[in-house]
Amino acid sequence: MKTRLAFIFLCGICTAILLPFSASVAGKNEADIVDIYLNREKKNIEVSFRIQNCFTPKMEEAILSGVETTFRILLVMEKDGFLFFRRKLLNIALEHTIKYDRLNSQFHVVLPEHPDKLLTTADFGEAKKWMSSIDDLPLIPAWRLENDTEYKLRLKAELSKVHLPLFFRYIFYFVSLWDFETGWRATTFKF
Amino acid sequence: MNQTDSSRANRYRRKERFWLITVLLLVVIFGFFGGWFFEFQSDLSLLNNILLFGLINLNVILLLLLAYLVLRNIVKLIFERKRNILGHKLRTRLVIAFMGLCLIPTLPLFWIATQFISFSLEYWFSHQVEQSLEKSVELGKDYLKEEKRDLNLDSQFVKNELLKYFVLTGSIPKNSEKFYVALLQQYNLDAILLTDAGGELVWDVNTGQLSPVEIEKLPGWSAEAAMDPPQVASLSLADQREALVAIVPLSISDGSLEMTSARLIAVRLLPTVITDKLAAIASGYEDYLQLKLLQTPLKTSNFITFSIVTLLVIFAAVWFGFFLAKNMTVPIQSLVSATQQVAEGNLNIHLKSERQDEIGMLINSFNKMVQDLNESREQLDSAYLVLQQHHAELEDRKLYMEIVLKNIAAGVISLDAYGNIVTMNKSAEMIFGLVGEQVKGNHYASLLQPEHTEIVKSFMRLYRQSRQDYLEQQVRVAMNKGPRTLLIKASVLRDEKNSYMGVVVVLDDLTDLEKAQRMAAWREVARRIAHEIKNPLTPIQLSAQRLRRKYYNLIEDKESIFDECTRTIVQQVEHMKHLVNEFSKFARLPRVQLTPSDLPTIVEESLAIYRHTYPQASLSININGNFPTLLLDPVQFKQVMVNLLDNAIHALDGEPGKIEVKLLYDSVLKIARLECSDTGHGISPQDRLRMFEPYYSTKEKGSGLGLTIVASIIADHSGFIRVRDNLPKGTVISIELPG
Repeated sequence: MKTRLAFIFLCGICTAILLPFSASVAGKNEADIVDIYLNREKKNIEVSFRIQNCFTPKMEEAILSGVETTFRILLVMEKDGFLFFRRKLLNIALEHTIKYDRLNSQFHVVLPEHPDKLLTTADFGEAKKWMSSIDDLPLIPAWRLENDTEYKLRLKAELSKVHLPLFFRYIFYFVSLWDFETGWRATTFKF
Repeated sequence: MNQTDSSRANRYRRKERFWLITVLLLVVIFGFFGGWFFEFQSDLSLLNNILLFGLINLNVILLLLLAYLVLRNIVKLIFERKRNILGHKLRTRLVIAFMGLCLIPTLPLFWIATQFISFSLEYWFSHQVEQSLEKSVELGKDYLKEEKRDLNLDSQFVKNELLKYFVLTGSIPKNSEKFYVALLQQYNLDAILLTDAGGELVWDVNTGQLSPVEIEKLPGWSAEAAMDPPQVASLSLADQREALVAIVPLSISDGSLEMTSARLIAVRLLPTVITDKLAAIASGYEDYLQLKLLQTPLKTSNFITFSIVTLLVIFAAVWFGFFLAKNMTVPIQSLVSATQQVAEGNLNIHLKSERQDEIGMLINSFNKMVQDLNESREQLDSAYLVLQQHHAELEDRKLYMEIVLKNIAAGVISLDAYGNIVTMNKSAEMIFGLVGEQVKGNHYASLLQPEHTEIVKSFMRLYRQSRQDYLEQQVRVAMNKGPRTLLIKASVLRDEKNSYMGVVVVLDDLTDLEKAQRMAAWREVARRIAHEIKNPLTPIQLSAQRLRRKYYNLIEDKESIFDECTRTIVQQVEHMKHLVNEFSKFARLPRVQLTPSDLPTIVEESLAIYRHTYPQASLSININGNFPTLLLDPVQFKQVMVNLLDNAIHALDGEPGKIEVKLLYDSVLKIARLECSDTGHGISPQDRLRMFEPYYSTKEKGSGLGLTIVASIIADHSGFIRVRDNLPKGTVISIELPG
């Protein structure tokens, strides 16, 4: 009897302690991947899509405060099949990073699609567009795909890394104020 | 609680203590490691991140475990209070005291710390600070703007210089000419580049501060840049250098150059000291903004941190309270339990203690005390055993003495120093007709009759005269059962110090002995009288009868003296003969021949004789129940009946009366009782005392031997004969015979 009561008591304490964390996790925004387009351009299959609702006011405030923010975009291409029989053709992750240059009032965006170029703009809207868009990204050489075969492209985007000042990222390990994560979006296509 | 339970509980407590200390230490160690990791402030590797994550989680788990262990103890304490388990009060008080002692400084500290941090944060993020930082950044921005404007202006001047040179010479100056160096120095530029419309470098000149790679990466090369209006851009270079790049479109219509448009790119490196400061200002402001963004979570985080530390302190205090309480209450509890057992009589208790403090001393003292008690009790037990043996011996002796006293024929009465009766044995009870237990404690004088008091007084007189502690006197005294001859021996009791303790009186009843002696003497007398008198009686009687026969007819006067004398002689001789025969019969009473006899028949036969002889007397027999056959001498018993009926008839004095013989048998006591009652004149108390003595008769011509013979025969049958008044008139002779 005593042990049971003590256990219930302990459970109560655990719940009370963990409740704020669960509340913050539940407060994620409703980001999603939309406008997915697949296109064969010359010898490659290219994809274009857009992430919507990925910027929350808090996140924007953080970026304007100089927090370097990175979106991690996951792309997985599989040959359609049942569970373990799916053949994974592609599994890549792209990182879009944005950093605000306060002295020059400019946004620097680094995109892996344009590795040789540092995109700079003073327009936050344009910078956000760069961050949330993938345009004509070459995915795979067309010769690797078989004719009349169904392929599935799965996409997911999440906030990869928020560089909090000092060591706050360790303190706020469980508390993420501007976290976002889309669900896996899939599109099936036949080549 | 037995030994096994106690050791198990101790093991459990030790185990719990070990875990608690381990958890506390782990929390501190992991907390320290966590802090050590934080000191880096830089990006950690994945492994370190995982490690840090693990550490933080582990700390949380351990904190929860600590909370569980402490709260479990609190729950246990609550249950102990409810069940009223020994020691809970002290434990509760200690825990509350420790909690209080801990809370008094901790809570204000906690409040002050959180408030301080909160105020500090508020102060850090105050408007003035923000404004100052913002102004600093604005200043930096203005500086850059100014620099950009200057560069733009200077680049325009350079453009004009080039155009002037072109107008004067009709060509662009060669790379080797000093013109460019002068331009660089004049306008404080680090590089000047001229590209054509296609972005191809026409010529360039620089101070050597920029590497070729950096020059290639300069903006303004592309064709799109040419479309833009003149602008100045900032550029980050290697080694944290910052540069401003001005791109100025240049249009030359001279056909020799074959270009309609070109771009002049002027580069000026910003001083490192300035750029570093600008970067620091911007970084500081950004940090400030980010911190401001984290102000609320920071407060929460601080609050949580302080709460955790406070909780840790409280838990530690509570646990320490429990630890101390247990440390104190457990030995006290065992001491109380042991004391209870000692109180219940169990002295084979030994408390284990390895402690060296006062409680250890207390336990050792307790053990010593219990051991001493045990030894004392063993000694007492052995002494008690010896005493008990002695007591039993004394009791046996006392009992034996009492039995002896009870069973001796002599009556024994002991008096204390005040004359109160202490003991009275059975024989004394029978002599005095009293019950010993009832008279115990009473003064002897209250029980004595005046006649007896006289005897006591005579004894006292004798003692005063002789001063001897032992006195003896034979007295004849009337007791409740009649006259008794007693040999009274009085001994004065004295203790070792010769103090007077009382008197013990021994009463030897010599009545029966005296009676027997008297009877024997009488029998001897009777035998001699019979022998000496009977022989001359016959010649006397024969002589008197012969005189009468020979001379009676010769005497004329028939009623003369002769006739009277001879008749008297013959009658008296006859009477004497009768007396002699009686004497002879008394003297020669034969031994009883016991044969199974039917007493009612004997009684009936005897009555039958008297019914015919004495018709005026109403003779009857009354037999109660079944009367058994008794061992009797029928001949002698007939004599008994004859003598009894003779006396009864005589008691009637010739008057009509009633004589009744009752026969009763007590099957329980096995006693046959014969009661011969008459309605005659009765017997006076004085006569009753001597009526069974020889030659004591109230009859005119009685020999005084009738009842003596009866008593003798009854005594020979081991029976008793008693006499009492027959109410309302007459006498009852009661004979008791063993059945």
